[in-house]
Amino acid sequence: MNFSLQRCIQLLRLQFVTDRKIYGYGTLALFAIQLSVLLYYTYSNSDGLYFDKQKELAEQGLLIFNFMTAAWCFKSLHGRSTRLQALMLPVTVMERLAVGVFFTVVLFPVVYLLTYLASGGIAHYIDSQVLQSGNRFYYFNRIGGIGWGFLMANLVFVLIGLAGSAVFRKLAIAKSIVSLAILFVFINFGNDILGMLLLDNKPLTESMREPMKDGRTPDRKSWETHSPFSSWRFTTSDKDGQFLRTYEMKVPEYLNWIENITGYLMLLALPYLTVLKLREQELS
Amino acid sequence: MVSLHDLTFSYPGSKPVLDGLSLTLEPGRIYGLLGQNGAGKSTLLYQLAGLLFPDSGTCRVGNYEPSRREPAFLQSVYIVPETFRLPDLSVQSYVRLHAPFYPGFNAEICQSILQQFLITGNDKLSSLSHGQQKKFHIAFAIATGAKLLLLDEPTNGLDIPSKQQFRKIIAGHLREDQCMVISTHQVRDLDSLIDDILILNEGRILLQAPVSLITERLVFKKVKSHGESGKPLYAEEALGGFAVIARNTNEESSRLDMELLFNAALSGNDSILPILQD
Repeated sequence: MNFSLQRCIQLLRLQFVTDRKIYGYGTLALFAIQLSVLLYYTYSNSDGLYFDKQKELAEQGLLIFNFMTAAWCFKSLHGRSTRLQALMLPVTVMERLAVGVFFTVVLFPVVYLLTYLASGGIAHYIDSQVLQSGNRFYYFNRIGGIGWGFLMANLVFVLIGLAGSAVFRKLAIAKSIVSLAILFVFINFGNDILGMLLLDNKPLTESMREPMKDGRTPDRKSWETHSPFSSWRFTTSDKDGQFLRTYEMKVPEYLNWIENITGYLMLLALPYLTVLKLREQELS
Repeated sequence: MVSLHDLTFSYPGSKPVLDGLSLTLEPGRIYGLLGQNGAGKSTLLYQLAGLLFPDSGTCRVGNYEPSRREPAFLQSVYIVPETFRLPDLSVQSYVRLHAPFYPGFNAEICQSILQQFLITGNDKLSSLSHGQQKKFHIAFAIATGAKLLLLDEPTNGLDIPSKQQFRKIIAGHLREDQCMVISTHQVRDLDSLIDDILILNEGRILLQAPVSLITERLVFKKVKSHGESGKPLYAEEALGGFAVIARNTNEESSRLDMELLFNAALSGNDSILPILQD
Protein backbone atom coordinates (compact mmCIF):
# COMPACT_ATOMS: atom_id res chain seq x y z
CA MET A 1 0.00 0.00 0.00
CA ASN A 2 1.24 3.46 -0.93
CA PHE A 3 1.29 5.15 2.48
CA SER A 4 3.86 7.70 3.61
CA LEU A 5 4.01 8.93 7.18
CA GLN A 6 6.12 11.82 5.98
CA ARG A 7 3.35 12.99 3.64
CA CYS A 8 0.79 12.55 6.43
CA ILE A 9 2.82 14.83 8.70
CA GLN A 10 3.20 17.32 5.86
CA LEU A 11 -0.54 17.25 5.17
CA LEU A 12 -1.24 17.67 8.87
CA ARG A 13 1.02 20.74 9.01
CA LEU A 14 -0.52 22.15 5.85
CA GLN A 15 -4.06 21.71 7.13
CA PHE A 16 -3.22 23.03 10.56
CA VAL A 17 -1.50 26.19 9.30
CA THR A 18 -3.99 26.87 6.49
CA ASP A 19 -7.03 26.55 8.77
CA ARG A 20 -5.43 28.03 11.89
CA LYS A 21 -7.90 30.91 12.07
CA ILE A 22 -10.92 28.58 11.83
CA TYR A 23 -9.45 26.41 14.59
CA GLY A 24 -8.75 29.43 16.79
CA TYR A 25 -12.20 30.99 16.42
CA GLY A 26 -13.83 27.55 16.58
CA THR A 27 -12.15 26.83 19.94
CA LEU A 28 -13.35 30.16 21.33
CA ALA A 29 -16.88 29.50 20.04
CA LEU A 30 -16.86 26.01 21.57
CA PHE A 31 -15.76 27.41 24.92
CA ALA A 32 -18.49 30.07 24.77
CA ILE A 33 -21.21 27.53 23.91
CA GLN A 34 -20.11 25.14 26.67
CA LEU A 35 -19.96 27.92 29.25
CA SER A 36 -23.37 29.31 28.22
CA VAL A 37 -25.06 25.90 28.46
CA LEU A 38 -23.41 25.03 31.80
CA LEU A 39 -24.26 28.42 33.32
CA TYR A 40 -27.85 28.11 32.09
CA TYR A 41 -28.25 24.84 33.99
CA THR A 42 -26.35 26.23 37.00
CA TYR A 43 -28.92 28.99 37.44
CA SER A 44 -32.06 27.28 36.14
CA ASN A 45 -31.91 24.06 38.24
CA SER A 46 -32.89 24.24 41.87
CA ASP A 47 -30.12 21.69 42.60
CA GLY A 48 -27.61 23.75 40.63
CA LEU A 49 -25.13 22.06 38.31
CA TYR A 50 -25.30 18.61 39.86
CA PHE A 51 -22.83 15.86 38.97
CA ASP A 52 -25.08 13.79 36.71
CA LYS A 53 -26.21 16.85 34.75
CA GLN A 54 -22.56 17.82 34.15
CA LYS A 55 -21.86 14.27 33.00
CA GLU A 56 -24.84 14.27 30.67
CA LEU A 57 -23.94 17.65 29.14
CA ALA A 58 -20.23 16.87 28.79
CA GLU A 59 -20.73 13.44 27.21
CA GLN A 60 -23.58 14.42 24.92
CA GLY A 61 -21.65 17.54 23.92
CA LEU A 62 -18.60 15.46 23.03
CA LEU A 63 -20.76 13.10 20.99
CA ILE A 64 -22.29 15.96 18.99
CA PHE A 65 -18.93 17.75 18.66
CA ASN A 66 -17.21 14.59 17.37
CA PHE A 67 -19.97 14.04 14.86
CA MET A 68 -19.86 17.63 13.60
CA THR A 69 -16.07 17.71 13.27
CA ALA A 70 -16.11 14.35 11.47
CA ALA A 71 -18.72 15.63 9.00
CA TRP A 72 -16.53 18.72 8.46
CA CYS A 73 -13.35 16.69 8.10
CA PHE A 74 -12.87 16.82 4.30
CA LYS A 75 -14.01 20.39 3.94
CA SER A 76 -11.23 21.21 1.46
CA LEU A 77 -13.02 18.85 -0.95
CA HIS A 78 -16.37 20.58 -0.41
CA GLY A 79 -15.63 24.12 -1.60
CA ARG A 80 -15.38 24.84 -5.30
CA SER A 81 -12.42 27.14 -4.81
CA THR A 82 -10.38 24.73 -2.69
CA ARG A 83 -11.42 21.45 -4.29
CA LEU A 84 -9.08 21.51 -7.29
CA GLN A 85 -6.00 22.21 -5.19
CA ALA A 86 -6.99 19.60 -2.62
CA LEU A 87 -7.46 16.95 -5.31
CA MET A 88 -4.15 17.83 -6.98
CA LEU A 89 -2.15 17.55 -3.77
CA PRO A 90 0.14 14.52 -4.06
CA VAL A 91 -1.32 12.41 -1.24
CA THR A 92 -3.17 9.12 -1.25
CA VAL A 93 -6.73 8.59 -0.09
CA MET A 94 -5.48 6.64 2.93
CA GLU A 95 -3.14 9.47 3.92
CA ARG A 96 -5.97 11.98 3.61
CA LEU A 97 -8.19 9.72 5.70
CA ALA A 98 -5.47 9.13 8.33
CA VAL A 99 -5.03 12.88 8.80
CA GLY A 100 -8.80 13.37 8.96
CA VAL A 101 -9.12 10.63 11.58
CA PHE A 102 -6.26 12.12 13.59
CA PHE A 103 -7.98 15.50 13.67
CA THR A 104 -11.38 14.00 14.47
CA VAL A 105 -10.42 11.31 16.94
CA VAL A 106 -7.39 12.81 18.67
CA LEU A 107 -6.90 16.54 18.22
CA PHE A 108 -10.48 17.85 18.32
CA PRO A 109 -11.57 15.71 21.31
CA VAL A 110 -8.49 16.97 23.21
CA VAL A 111 -9.53 20.54 22.37
CA TYR A 112 -13.06 19.70 23.55
CA LEU A 113 -11.77 18.28 26.84
CA LEU A 114 -9.56 21.31 27.45
CA THR A 115 -12.34 23.81 26.73
CA TYR A 116 -14.70 21.71 28.85
CA LEU A 117 -12.27 21.72 31.77
CA ALA A 118 -12.08 25.51 31.50
CA SER A 119 -15.80 26.19 30.99
CA GLY A 120 -16.88 23.43 33.39
CA GLY A 121 -14.37 24.68 35.96
CA ILE A 122 -15.80 28.21 35.80
CA ALA A 123 -19.40 26.93 35.97
CA HIS A 124 -18.54 24.61 38.86
CA TYR A 125 -16.78 27.42 40.74
CA ILE A 126 -19.88 29.62 40.42
CA ASP A 127 -22.13 26.68 41.34
CA SER A 128 -20.15 25.61 44.42
CA GLN A 129 -18.60 28.87 45.66
CA VAL A 130 -21.12 31.55 44.68
CA LEU A 131 -24.37 29.57 44.83
CA GLN A 132 -23.05 27.23 47.56
CA SER A 133 -24.75 24.16 46.03
CA GLY A 134 -22.13 21.65 47.16
CA ASN A 135 -22.09 19.71 43.87
CA ARG A 136 -19.01 17.77 42.79
CA PHE A 137 -17.12 18.66 39.58
CA TYR A 138 -17.40 16.20 36.70
CA TYR A 139 -14.31 15.96 34.54
CA PHE A 140 -14.96 12.62 32.82
CA ASN A 141 -14.27 10.98 36.17
CA ARG A 142 -17.44 8.94 36.63
CA ILE A 143 -17.24 5.65 38.47
CA GLY A 144 -16.06 2.85 36.19
CA GLY A 145 -14.51 5.31 33.73
CA ILE A 146 -15.89 6.06 30.29
CA GLY A 147 -18.43 3.39 29.40
CA TRP A 148 -18.09 0.98 26.50
CA GLY A 149 -21.48 2.13 25.19
CA PHE A 150 -20.33 5.74 25.15
CA LEU A 151 -17.18 4.84 23.22
CA MET A 152 -19.17 2.76 20.73
CA ALA A 153 -21.68 5.58 20.24
CA ASN A 154 -18.76 7.94 19.59
CA LEU A 155 -17.24 5.53 17.10
CA VAL A 156 -20.55 5.18 15.22
CA PHE A 157 -21.08 8.94 15.17
CA VAL A 158 -17.53 9.60 13.95
CA LEU A 159 -17.76 6.93 11.23
CA ILE A 160 -21.09 8.27 9.99
CA GLY A 161 -19.72 11.83 10.10
CA LEU A 162 -16.61 10.86 8.10
CA ALA A 163 -18.69 9.00 5.53
CA GLY A 164 -21.03 12.00 5.27
CA SER A 165 -18.08 14.32 4.73
CA ALA A 166 -16.80 12.11 1.91
CA VAL A 167 -20.20 11.57 0.29
CA PHE A 168 -21.75 15.04 0.49
CA ARG A 169 -20.18 18.14 -1.01
CA LYS A 170 -22.81 20.71 -0.20
CA LEU A 171 -24.20 21.10 3.34
CA ALA A 172 -22.20 18.06 4.44
CA ILE A 173 -22.91 18.53 8.15
CA ALA A 174 -26.67 19.01 7.70
CA LYS A 175 -26.95 16.08 5.32
CA SER A 176 -24.91 13.88 7.66
CA ILE A 177 -27.28 14.72 10.51
CA VAL A 178 -30.25 13.78 8.32
CA SER A 179 -28.51 10.52 7.33
CA LEU A 180 -27.86 9.71 10.96
CA ALA A 181 -31.49 10.38 11.82
CA ILE A 182 -32.72 8.22 8.93
CA LEU A 183 -30.41 5.41 10.01
CA PHE A 184 -31.71 5.47 13.56
CA VAL A 185 -35.33 5.65 12.44
CA PHE A 186 -34.68 2.72 10.14
CA ILE A 187 -33.06 0.66 12.93
CA ASN A 188 -35.89 1.44 15.34
CA PHE A 189 -38.51 0.70 12.71
CA GLY A 190 -36.85 -2.64 11.94
CA ASN A 191 -36.77 -3.56 15.61
CA ASP A 192 -40.35 -2.50 16.07
CA ILE A 193 -41.43 -4.84 13.30
CA LEU A 194 -39.25 -7.63 14.67
CA GLY A 195 -40.66 -7.22 18.14
CA MET A 196 -44.23 -7.15 16.87
CA LEU A 197 -43.67 -10.25 14.79
CA LEU A 198 -42.12 -12.12 17.71
CA LEU A 199 -44.29 -10.97 20.61
CA ASP A 200 -47.51 -9.30 19.61
CA ASN A 201 -49.19 -12.39 18.26
CA LYS A 202 -48.37 -14.35 21.39
CA PRO A 203 -51.05 -14.41 24.08
CA LEU A 204 -50.35 -13.35 27.67
CA THR A 205 -49.02 -16.19 29.82
CA GLU A 206 -50.81 -17.45 32.91
CA SER A 207 -48.54 -15.57 35.30
CA MET A 208 -49.00 -12.38 33.29
CA ARG A 209 -52.75 -12.76 33.57
CA GLU A 210 -52.66 -12.90 37.37
CA PRO A 211 -54.92 -10.14 38.75
CA MET A 212 -53.48 -7.14 40.56
CA LYS A 213 -54.15 -6.51 44.27
CA ASP A 214 -56.91 -4.07 43.37
CA GLY A 215 -58.58 -6.73 41.26
CA ARG A 216 -57.76 -5.36 37.82
CA THR A 217 -56.69 -8.07 35.38
CA PRO A 218 -54.10 -7.71 32.64
CA ASP A 219 -55.67 -7.91 29.22
CA ARG A 220 -53.09 -6.81 26.68
CA LYS A 221 -49.42 -5.99 26.33
CA SER A 222 -47.60 -3.18 24.58
CA TRP A 223 -44.03 -2.29 23.61
CA GLU A 224 -41.79 -0.10 25.72
CA THR A 225 -38.44 -0.28 23.89
CA HIS A 226 -37.65 -0.64 20.22
CA SER A 227 -33.93 -0.07 19.88
CA PRO A 228 -31.54 -2.97 19.34
CA PHE A 229 -30.92 -3.55 23.04
CA SER A 230 -30.01 -6.92 24.50
CA SER A 231 -33.29 -6.91 26.45
CA TRP A 232 -36.82 -5.87 25.52
CA ARG A 233 -39.35 -4.25 27.76
CA PHE A 234 -43.09 -4.43 27.51
CA THR A 235 -46.01 -3.50 29.71
CA THR A 236 -49.39 -5.01 30.42
CA SER A 237 -52.61 -3.05 30.79
CA ASP A 238 -56.24 -3.73 31.57
CA LYS A 239 -59.26 -3.54 29.23
CA ASP A 240 -59.36 0.26 29.57
CA GLY A 241 -55.70 0.57 28.66
CA GLN A 242 -54.59 1.42 32.22
CA PHE A 243 -50.96 0.47 32.90
CA LEU A 244 -50.48 -2.54 35.21
CA ARG A 245 -47.03 -4.14 35.09
CA THR A 246 -43.66 -3.80 33.34
CA TYR A 247 -41.72 -6.87 32.10
CA GLU A 248 -38.18 -7.15 30.90
CA MET A 249 -37.07 -10.09 28.82
CA LYS A 250 -33.88 -11.22 27.18
CA VAL A 251 -33.82 -11.01 23.41
CA PRO A 252 -33.47 -14.44 21.79
CA GLU A 253 -29.84 -15.35 21.33
CA TYR A 254 -30.06 -15.69 17.54
CA LEU A 255 -31.53 -12.18 17.29
CA ASN A 256 -28.66 -10.82 19.35
CA TRP A 257 -26.27 -12.41 16.89
CA ILE A 258 -28.07 -10.97 13.89
CA GLU A 259 -28.10 -7.52 15.46
CA ASN A 260 -24.44 -7.68 16.43
CA ILE A 261 -23.31 -8.91 13.03
CA THR A 262 -25.40 -6.25 11.29
CA GLY A 263 -23.96 -3.59 13.60
CA TYR A 264 -20.34 -4.64 13.06
CA LEU A 265 -20.87 -4.95 9.32
CA MET A 266 -22.21 -1.40 9.32
CA LEU A 267 -19.14 -0.25 11.24
CA LEU A 268 -16.91 -1.86 8.61
CA ALA A 269 -19.03 -0.61 5.71
CA LEU A 270 -18.77 3.03 6.76
CA PRO A 271 -14.96 3.34 6.45
CA TYR A 272 -15.17 1.39 3.19
CA LEU A 273 -17.76 3.83 1.87
CA THR A 274 -15.56 6.74 3.00
CA VAL A 275 -12.49 5.41 1.17
CA LEU A 276 -14.53 4.57 -1.91
CA LYS A 277 -16.06 8.04 -2.08
CA LEU A 278 -12.73 9.77 -1.50
CA ARG A 279 -11.25 7.72 -4.32
CA GLU A 280 -14.11 8.62 -6.66
CA GLN A 281 -13.81 12.37 -6.07
CA GLU A 282 -13.87 14.34 -9.32
CA LEU A 283 -13.81 18.05 -9.97
CA SER A 284 -17.31 18.20 -11.44
CA MET B 1 4.38 11.19 -22.82
CA VAL B 2 0.63 11.79 -23.04
CA SER B 3 -1.65 9.49 -24.93
CA LEU B 4 -5.41 9.74 -25.17
CA HIS B 5 -7.31 7.25 -27.22
CA ASP B 6 -10.96 7.47 -28.21
CA LEU B 7 -11.74 9.36 -25.02
CA THR B 8 -15.34 10.33 -24.35
CA PHE B 9 -16.56 12.42 -21.48
CA SER B 10 -19.79 14.18 -20.64
CA TYR B 11 -20.95 16.09 -17.60
CA PRO B 12 -24.04 14.61 -15.93
CA GLY B 13 -27.17 15.30 -17.95
CA SER B 14 -25.47 16.91 -20.93
CA LYS B 15 -24.12 15.82 -24.30
CA PRO B 16 -20.48 14.70 -24.59
CA VAL B 17 -17.90 17.47 -24.25
CA LEU B 18 -15.13 15.19 -25.45
CA ASP B 19 -16.31 12.70 -27.99
CA GLY B 20 -13.88 10.04 -29.20
CA LEU B 21 -10.88 12.31 -28.73
CA SER B 22 -7.43 10.92 -29.54
CA LEU B 23 -4.21 12.80 -28.92
CA THR B 24 -0.50 12.25 -28.39
CA LEU B 25 1.80 14.79 -26.77
CA GLU B 26 5.59 14.68 -26.73
CA PRO B 27 8.01 16.01 -24.11
CA GLY B 28 10.04 19.16 -24.75
CA ARG B 29 7.17 20.93 -26.50
CA ILE B 30 4.69 23.67 -25.69
CA TYR B 31 1.21 22.99 -27.01
CA GLY B 32 -1.30 25.77 -27.56
CA LEU B 33 -4.80 24.43 -27.03
CA LEU B 34 -7.35 26.51 -28.89
CA GLY B 35 -11.10 26.17 -29.05
CA GLN B 36 -14.33 28.09 -28.81
CA ASN B 37 -16.02 28.77 -25.49
CA GLY B 38 -17.43 25.51 -24.18
CA ALA B 39 -15.39 23.42 -26.62
CA GLY B 40 -13.94 21.43 -23.71
CA LYS B 41 -10.45 22.90 -23.37
CA SER B 42 -10.54 23.02 -19.57
CA THR B 43 -12.27 19.62 -19.49
CA LEU B 44 -9.41 18.17 -21.52
CA LEU B 45 -6.86 19.67 -19.11
CA TYR B 46 -8.81 18.23 -16.16
CA GLN B 47 -8.78 14.81 -17.82
CA LEU B 48 -5.00 15.01 -18.16
CA ALA B 49 -4.70 16.05 -14.52
CA GLY B 50 -6.92 13.20 -13.29
CA LEU B 51 -9.52 15.64 -12.00
CA LEU B 52 -12.21 14.17 -14.25
CA PHE B 53 -12.51 10.53 -15.25
CA PRO B 54 -13.28 9.45 -18.82
CA ASP B 55 -16.62 7.80 -19.55
CA SER B 56 -14.87 5.60 -22.10
CA GLY B 57 -11.53 5.41 -23.88
CA THR B 58 -8.08 5.62 -22.35
CA CYS B 59 -5.92 8.37 -20.95
CA ARG B 60 -2.26 7.78 -20.08
CA VAL B 61 0.24 10.32 -18.80
CA GLY B 62 3.72 8.82 -18.70
CA ASN B 63 3.30 5.47 -16.99
CA TYR B 64 0.23 6.57 -15.10
CA GLU B 65 -3.49 6.43 -15.47
CA PRO B 66 -4.52 9.92 -14.26
CA SER B 67 -7.84 8.83 -12.74
CA ARG B 68 -5.95 6.73 -10.16
CA ARG B 69 -4.32 9.92 -8.85
CA GLU B 70 -1.29 8.21 -7.38
CA PRO B 71 1.05 10.58 -5.50
CA ALA B 72 3.88 9.93 -7.99
CA PHE B 73 1.54 10.99 -10.82
CA LEU B 74 0.36 14.07 -8.95
CA GLN B 75 4.00 15.02 -8.37
CA SER B 76 4.60 14.91 -12.11
CA VAL B 77 1.59 16.97 -13.19
CA TYR B 78 0.72 20.51 -12.17
CA ILE B 79 -2.28 22.50 -13.28
CA VAL B 80 -2.75 26.24 -13.00
CA PRO B 81 -6.50 26.74 -13.40
CA GLU B 82 -8.07 29.86 -14.84
CA THR B 83 -9.60 30.83 -11.52
CA PHE B 84 -8.48 29.74 -8.09
CA ARG B 85 -8.30 30.90 -4.49
CA LEU B 86 -5.02 30.84 -2.67
CA PRO B 87 -5.05 30.37 1.12
CA ASP B 88 -4.51 33.09 3.66
CA LEU B 89 -0.75 32.54 3.89
CA SER B 90 2.39 34.46 3.04
CA VAL B 91 4.27 33.53 -0.12
CA GLN B 92 7.04 32.06 2.02
CA SER B 93 4.67 29.96 4.14
CA TYR B 94 2.84 28.63 1.08
CA VAL B 95 6.11 27.51 -0.49
CA ARG B 96 7.37 26.05 2.80
CA LEU B 97 4.16 24.03 3.29
CA HIS B 98 3.56 22.88 -0.29
CA ALA B 99 7.07 22.37 -1.68
CA PRO B 100 7.78 19.16 0.32
CA PHE B 101 4.99 17.41 -1.59
CA TYR B 102 7.06 17.80 -4.78
CA PRO B 103 10.43 16.03 -4.60
CA GLY B 104 11.64 17.87 -7.70
CA PHE B 105 10.82 21.30 -6.32
CA ASN B 106 13.54 23.87 -6.99
CA ALA B 107 13.41 26.69 -4.46
CA GLU B 108 16.00 28.75 -6.36
CA ILE B 109 13.95 28.70 -9.55
CA CYS B 110 10.86 29.65 -7.57
CA GLN B 111 12.69 32.52 -5.89
CA SER B 112 14.19 33.72 -9.16
CA ILE B 113 10.82 33.74 -10.99
CA LEU B 114 9.09 35.45 -8.08
CA GLN B 115 11.80 38.12 -8.13
CA GLN B 116 11.23 38.68 -11.84
CA PHE B 117 7.52 39.05 -11.12
CA LEU B 118 8.32 41.47 -8.25
CA ILE B 119 6.69 39.25 -5.61
CA THR B 120 8.44 39.00 -2.24
CA GLY B 121 8.33 36.21 0.33
CA ASN B 122 6.51 38.28 2.90
CA ASP B 123 3.62 39.20 0.62
CA LYS B 124 0.27 37.84 1.76
CA LEU B 125 -1.22 35.72 -1.00
CA SER B 126 -4.77 36.75 -0.21
CA SER B 127 -3.88 40.43 -0.52
CA LEU B 128 -2.22 40.05 -3.93
CA SER B 129 -4.19 41.07 -7.02
CA HIS B 130 -5.56 38.26 -9.21
CA GLY B 131 -2.80 38.89 -11.75
CA GLN B 132 -0.11 38.66 -9.06
CA GLN B 133 -1.68 35.52 -7.63
CA LYS B 134 -1.56 34.02 -11.10
CA LYS B 135 2.11 34.95 -11.44
CA PHE B 136 2.81 33.31 -8.08
CA HIS B 137 0.96 30.18 -9.10
CA ILE B 138 2.86 30.00 -12.39
CA ALA B 139 6.19 30.46 -10.56
CA PHE B 140 5.30 27.66 -8.13
CA ALA B 141 4.13 25.42 -10.98
CA ILE B 142 7.40 25.80 -12.88
CA ALA B 143 9.47 25.27 -9.72
CA THR B 144 7.75 21.93 -8.97
CA GLY B 145 9.62 20.46 -11.94
CA ALA B 146 6.43 18.67 -13.00
CA LYS B 147 6.81 16.77 -16.27
CA LEU B 148 3.43 17.93 -17.51
CA LEU B 149 2.40 21.53 -16.90
CA LEU B 150 -1.15 22.47 -17.69
CA LEU B 151 -1.97 26.17 -17.84
CA ASP B 152 -5.55 27.29 -18.32
CA GLU B 153 -5.71 30.84 -19.69
CA PRO B 154 -2.43 31.81 -18.00
CA THR B 155 -2.28 35.32 -19.45
CA ASN B 156 -5.78 36.32 -18.33
CA GLY B 157 -5.34 38.99 -15.70
CA LEU B 158 -1.69 39.68 -16.55
CA ASP B 159 -0.70 43.20 -17.58
CA ILE B 160 1.28 43.81 -20.79
CA PRO B 161 4.80 43.72 -19.23
CA SER B 162 3.85 40.61 -17.27
CA LYS B 163 2.74 38.81 -20.43
CA GLN B 164 6.15 39.47 -21.91
CA GLN B 165 7.83 38.29 -18.71
CA PHE B 166 5.62 35.21 -18.72
CA ARG B 167 6.75 34.27 -22.24
CA LYS B 168 10.39 34.83 -21.27
CA ILE B 169 10.10 32.74 -18.12
CA ILE B 170 8.33 29.85 -19.83
CA ALA B 171 10.82 29.83 -22.70
CA GLY B 172 13.73 29.98 -20.26
CA HIS B 173 12.66 27.28 -17.84
CA LEU B 174 11.03 24.50 -19.82
CA ARG B 175 13.28 21.46 -19.86
CA GLU B 176 13.51 18.85 -22.60
CA ASP B 177 11.72 16.27 -20.47
CA GLN B 178 8.81 18.59 -19.72
CA CYS B 179 5.69 19.18 -21.73
CA MET B 180 3.37 22.14 -21.42
CA VAL B 181 -0.20 22.54 -22.57
CA ILE B 182 -1.52 26.09 -22.60
CA SER B 183 -5.22 26.55 -23.12
CA THR B 184 -5.92 30.08 -24.28
CA HIS B 185 -8.13 32.52 -26.09
CA GLN B 186 -5.37 35.14 -26.02
CA VAL B 187 -3.56 33.69 -29.01
CA ARG B 188 -1.56 36.81 -29.73
CA ASP B 189 -0.02 36.71 -26.24
CA LEU B 190 1.51 33.33 -26.88
CA ASP B 191 2.10 32.92 -30.60
CA SER B 192 5.86 33.28 -30.23
CA LEU B 193 5.96 30.67 -27.49
CA ILE B 194 3.96 27.79 -28.85
CA ASP B 195 5.56 24.86 -30.68
CA ASP B 196 2.41 22.98 -31.63
CA ILE B 197 -1.17 23.98 -32.26
CA LEU B 198 -4.09 21.91 -31.02
CA ILE B 199 -7.55 22.96 -32.13
CA LEU B 200 -10.41 21.38 -30.24
CA ASN B 201 -13.82 21.36 -31.87
CA GLU B 202 -16.97 19.32 -31.29
CA GLY B 203 -15.24 17.11 -28.76
CA ARG B 204 -12.32 16.14 -30.97
CA ILE B 205 -8.93 17.43 -32.01
CA LEU B 206 -9.61 19.10 -35.33
CA LEU B 207 -5.99 20.03 -35.94
CA GLN B 208 -2.69 19.07 -34.34
CA ALA B 209 0.34 20.44 -36.09
CA PRO B 210 3.75 21.96 -35.26
CA VAL B 211 4.05 25.67 -35.96
CA SER B 212 7.12 24.96 -38.12
CA LEU B 213 5.09 22.65 -40.36
CA ILE B 214 2.23 25.13 -40.62
CA THR B 215 4.50 27.98 -41.73
CA GLU B 216 6.35 25.65 -44.07
CA ARG B 217 3.18 24.69 -45.90
CA LEU B 218 1.07 27.79 -45.50
CA VAL B 219 1.73 31.45 -45.82
CA PHE B 220 -0.09 34.13 -43.82
CA LYS B 221 -0.39 37.54 -45.41
CA LYS B 222 -2.16 40.87 -45.20
CA VAL B 223 -3.30 42.16 -48.58
CA LYS B 224 -5.23 45.22 -49.66
CA SER B 225 -7.39 43.44 -52.22
CA HIS B 226 -8.33 39.90 -53.20
CA GLY B 227 -6.42 40.27 -56.44
CA GLU B 228 -3.08 40.60 -54.63
CA SER B 229 -3.35 37.27 -52.91
CA GLY B 230 -3.59 35.04 -55.95
CA LYS B 231 -5.54 31.97 -54.93
CA PRO B 232 -6.04 32.16 -51.17
CA LEU B 233 -7.18 29.11 -49.26
CA TYR B 234 -8.94 31.32 -46.77
CA ALA B 235 -9.46 35.06 -46.45
CA GLU B 236 -11.19 37.34 -44.04
CA GLU B 237 -11.59 41.05 -43.76
CA ALA B 238 -8.96 42.80 -41.70
CA LEU B 239 -8.05 46.38 -40.96
CA GLY B 240 -7.11 48.02 -44.27
CA GLY B 241 -7.72 44.95 -46.44
CA PHE B 242 -7.74 41.20 -46.02
CA ALA B 243 -5.89 38.61 -43.96
CA VAL B 244 -5.29 35.55 -46.11
CA ILE B 245 -3.89 32.07 -45.86
CA ALA B 246 -2.37 30.61 -49.01
CA ARG B 247 -0.34 27.55 -49.92
CA ASN B 248 3.36 28.21 -49.39
CA THR B 249 4.58 27.19 -52.80
CA ASN B 250 7.53 29.61 -52.94
CA GLU B 251 9.03 28.73 -49.53
CA GLU B 252 8.07 32.13 -48.24
CA SER B 253 8.71 32.96 -44.64
CA SER B 254 5.72 34.27 -42.74
CA ARG B 255 4.64 34.58 -39.16
CA LEU B 256 1.84 32.24 -38.07
CA ASP B 257 -1.41 34.09 -37.45
CA MET B 258 -3.03 31.70 -34.96
CA GLU B 259 -6.28 33.59 -34.88
CA LEU B 260 -6.61 33.43 -38.65
CA LEU B 261 -5.71 29.75 -38.73
CA PHE B 262 -8.22 29.04 -35.97
CA ASN B 263 -10.99 30.89 -37.82
CA ALA B 264 -10.10 29.08 -41.03
CA ALA B 265 -10.13 25.68 -39.34
CA LEU B 266 -13.51 26.31 -37.76
CA SER B 267 -15.06 27.87 -40.86
CA GLY B 268 -15.53 24.48 -42.43
CA ASN B 269 -12.88 25.23 -45.02
CA ASP B 270 -11.84 21.81 -46.23
CA SER B 271 -8.72 22.79 -48.16
CA ILE B 272 -6.43 23.80 -45.29
CA LEU B 273 -6.58 20.85 -42.90
CA PRO B 274 -5.60 18.19 -45.49
CA ILE B 275 -2.50 20.22 -46.36
CA LEU B 276 -1.37 20.09 -42.74
CA GLN B 277 -2.39 16.54 -42.04
CA ASP B 278 -0.85 14.56 -44.87
